[in-house]
Amino acid sequence: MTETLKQSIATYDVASHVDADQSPHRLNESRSGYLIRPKLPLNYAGLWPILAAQNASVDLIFTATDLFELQGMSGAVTGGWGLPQRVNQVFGIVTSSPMVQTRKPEPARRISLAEARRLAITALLEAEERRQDERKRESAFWAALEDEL
Amino acid sequence: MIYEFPAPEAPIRQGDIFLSIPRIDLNLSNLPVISGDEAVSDDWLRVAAASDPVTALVAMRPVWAIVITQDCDTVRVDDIALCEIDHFDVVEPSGKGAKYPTKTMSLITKHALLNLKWFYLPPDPDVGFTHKMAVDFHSVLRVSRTYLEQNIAQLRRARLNQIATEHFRERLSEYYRRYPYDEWYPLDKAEFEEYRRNKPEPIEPFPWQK
Repeated sequence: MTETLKQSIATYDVASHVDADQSPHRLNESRSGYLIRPKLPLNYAGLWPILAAQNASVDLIFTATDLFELQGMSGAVTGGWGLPQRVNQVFGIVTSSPMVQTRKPEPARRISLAEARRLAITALLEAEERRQDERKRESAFWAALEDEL
Repeated sequence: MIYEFPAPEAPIRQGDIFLSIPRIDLNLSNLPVISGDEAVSDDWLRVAAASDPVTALVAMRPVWAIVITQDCDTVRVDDIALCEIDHFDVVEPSGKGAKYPTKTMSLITKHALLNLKWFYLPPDPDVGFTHKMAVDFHSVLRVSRTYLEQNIAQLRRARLNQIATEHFRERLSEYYRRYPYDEWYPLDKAEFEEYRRNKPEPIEPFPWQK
């Protein structure tokens, strides 16, 4: 599962990576081998001035497949999905470390279209049920208040 | 009753009643996301961090709704805000089974003053209201103004008349003007314990109530 990306350096999107301290939520469901695709648009060329401490003026084309981590001047570590190994080597990005090993992307649960539809309908019905429970609670509160008055 | 029936060319106004407004509910912790040729169930935070925009499968339910966007904005904003309308005894469950005018009168007048979260709409077959209805201020929807205007003949069924509009806008503003406050602050210790006993949520006493 690869994506070919070509982005301008002026549009580097910091939200395309994930801060190391933002642990993804775990789902209590069975897993498949599916990996989340990187956020699009994603501008890896924007990493150049950060890593090489110089201004870049060209667009680069990368395939986004790997997990990377980056330690900034402040010491903060940022991880995300993105740079292929050949680019990592150029930038000196560490792709194999304890942090990367422990922060592999969480696999989501692959589902059929029928299952997706069932989830969507269930979400709607459960929301309606919660709303009605809340209305009943509110109504009981006001009814009790009126009885007291 | 309290409704008017504006011509299709009349601009959208606060108090206009529409049918078939889409209501969408999501389970953000278990979102059916379409990714390429496959679907996955995932948590919103992870999906949002990995993709922008997100393509997901959602269920939509057509509902009645009333415009709450004020008149100045309804002619120029991209999206119109509306509040959902449902059967009165659904929005106010204590109205369920109320057969006698005494009970319904009490609900519509007295409760309407106490409980500011709904607005009563009487039945009118010309509108399509075969039951007592109510606006639920808790449920706010957002729809493209352009779409509503393009399909106004099919979607707009009525408008509140002047008297009803004045009451509606007052109730709407009261709903949004409410402030949360800890109403138990002046109770003595015994009153506070009684208050706390009747509340489902945990309530902490003020220092002078301990």
